[in-house]
Amino acid sequence: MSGQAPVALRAEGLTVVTRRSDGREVALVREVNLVLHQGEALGLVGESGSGKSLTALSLMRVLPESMRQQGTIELGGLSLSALPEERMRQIRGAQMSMVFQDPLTGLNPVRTVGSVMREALRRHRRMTRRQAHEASVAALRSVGIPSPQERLRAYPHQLSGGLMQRVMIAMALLHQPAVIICDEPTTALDATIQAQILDLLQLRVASASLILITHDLGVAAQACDRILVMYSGVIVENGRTSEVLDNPRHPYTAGLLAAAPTLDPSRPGMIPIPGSQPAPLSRPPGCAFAPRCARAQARCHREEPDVTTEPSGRSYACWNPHD
Amino acid sequence: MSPPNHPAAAMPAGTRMTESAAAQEILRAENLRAVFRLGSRPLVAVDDVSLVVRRGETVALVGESGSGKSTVARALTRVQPLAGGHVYFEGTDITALSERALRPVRRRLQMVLQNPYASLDPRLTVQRIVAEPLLSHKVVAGPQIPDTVRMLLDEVGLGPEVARRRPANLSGGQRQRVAIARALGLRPSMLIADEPVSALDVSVQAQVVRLLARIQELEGLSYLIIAHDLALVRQIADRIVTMYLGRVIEEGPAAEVVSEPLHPYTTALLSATLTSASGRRERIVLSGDPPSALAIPAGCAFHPRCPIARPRCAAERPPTESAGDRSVACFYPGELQLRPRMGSPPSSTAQGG
Repeated sequence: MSGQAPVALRAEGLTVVTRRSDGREVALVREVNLVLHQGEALGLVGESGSGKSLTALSLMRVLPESMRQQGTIELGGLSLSALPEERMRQIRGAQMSMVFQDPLTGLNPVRTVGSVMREALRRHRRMTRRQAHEASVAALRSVGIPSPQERLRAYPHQLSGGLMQRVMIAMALLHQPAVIICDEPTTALDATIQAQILDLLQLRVASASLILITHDLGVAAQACDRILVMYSGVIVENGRTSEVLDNPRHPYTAGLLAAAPTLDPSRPGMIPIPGSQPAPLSRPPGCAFAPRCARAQARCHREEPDVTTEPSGRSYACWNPHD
Repeated sequence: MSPPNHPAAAMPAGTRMTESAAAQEILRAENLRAVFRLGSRPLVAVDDVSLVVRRGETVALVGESGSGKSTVARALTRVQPLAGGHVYFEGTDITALSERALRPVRRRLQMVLQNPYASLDPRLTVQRIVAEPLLSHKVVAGPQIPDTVRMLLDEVGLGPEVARRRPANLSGGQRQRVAIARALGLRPSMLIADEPVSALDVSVQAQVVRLLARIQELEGLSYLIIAHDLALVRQIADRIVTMYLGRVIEEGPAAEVVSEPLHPYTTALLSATLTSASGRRERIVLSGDPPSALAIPAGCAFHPRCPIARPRCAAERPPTESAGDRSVACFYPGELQLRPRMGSPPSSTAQGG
């Protein structure tokens, strides 16, 4: 996607803080800056504990009560950060919606798919039951669900994981939101079903902008225009998908690429990164990746790296990047 | 890194296979069948599955949910009762052995599970977790236990301080290392591992895979690895056995199966295997879900989702044909190929499902 498309969502200085039982405050996400253009699919990539899911929840302002967020969020020019919760509720689901890894979370198991969808529709729009039913049928059909009438009468557990994830995407799209955030939407699915869901998401990006949170660089490579790589609560690299994957600047991005298994016999693949990501409380001084980094220099252990931005717009936070 | 000393396991008497076959093969499954009952309806989870693991070899059993791969693993370790077929381990038919006669087999044939969160008792320290099988199989005398546990932890790259911790205070990678240390304590000749790294982060996955490879090299272990990721499997396995809806549909050397799949389902699975290098390539996207094992289609079970299915595929079940060390159950093997990634027409979509 071109960089000239208007901005759909912008976040600046997004920080998520939690207070521990001993009273100490810990930042789980720090100073995340993010720009999502209209019609763009943006991948937020990182391993577990990198802060990628908390970043998504903070964009929706739905963090658990034990956490608080700082920083500004703008959705199509409207500032969300200071909006009263009541206004925010109108925006969630209508202008900005979310799809989770497990389609069964958040769904009442004793309510049919149809009843959940009708309620979601009538929460934001004046509609008769009949109109809501027809809109639900159309929504399921638009995501390629066969015999939608029948599916609406089903309970969530009666549908397969792939079908339920389609239902969740249909629900996320009900009100033509400007932005959809999908948190590991295909991680629980089989490979052939994952392929269907990624195809569906790519088709739908035409109408909504997409943030795709994933631990899987292969999924990001397939579905995203741009990639942000997170490590230990910080964005370490940001650029066009091809730039980041073909020529990573940050050693962590390069390490993730080398650690993944490959189908290409000419590449070694599965080269481990020694050690593991630090817990937020034991984050080392300087660059959090330095203790695992083969390129680390004395400075990396002392000073947190500045963000360098190249003319193409790609950026990275590293004192000793790859060329 | 010297292994603890254990008395050699005495194999119980059973049906012996021919000596030469037994020398090469560590595990042989013949015509396995496993059936679950859902109310009055039988669900055939595993149907006529045969496979062989040779000594020192890694075989990957690949398939999606409902393919029956985990049931095969459970049947091989006699956790899942069989409705038919035979399992030979180190030359002995273990299919009908009593629990008592199975004990030495269970020592030599260990299982490692996918989820180290669920498979380790959260109340116990790592010391107790690793020591427990040593005590229950009486392979190490009590006073030697702490030393043996320390050696086992060292073998999987964990320091002695880990012995005092409980699973909740370990990372996912550390837990899987503990599970492997526990399995290694009994000096098995074979490990069956059900998705051993799929719950781990990518950078840690590679660490655990390296560890498994190193142990195999040191001790000549044989592995049967249950997995769903063809890229991972290409890297770790000597041979791949692909299952679909309870049956083996393709088998062969890993590098060949991945570079030139014969069964259209393997081709589709390969096409759905995303790596950072695969980029936005054109793909074969199968429509629909796999059918339920309660309603397995007649003929070839894959035909409703198969992009190249013909009337014959719905009418007859394709037999397994072998050529060299490859085999496939398809009337039109090798016909469906992945197209070049650039400048090709949009992904073909199969009908049905």
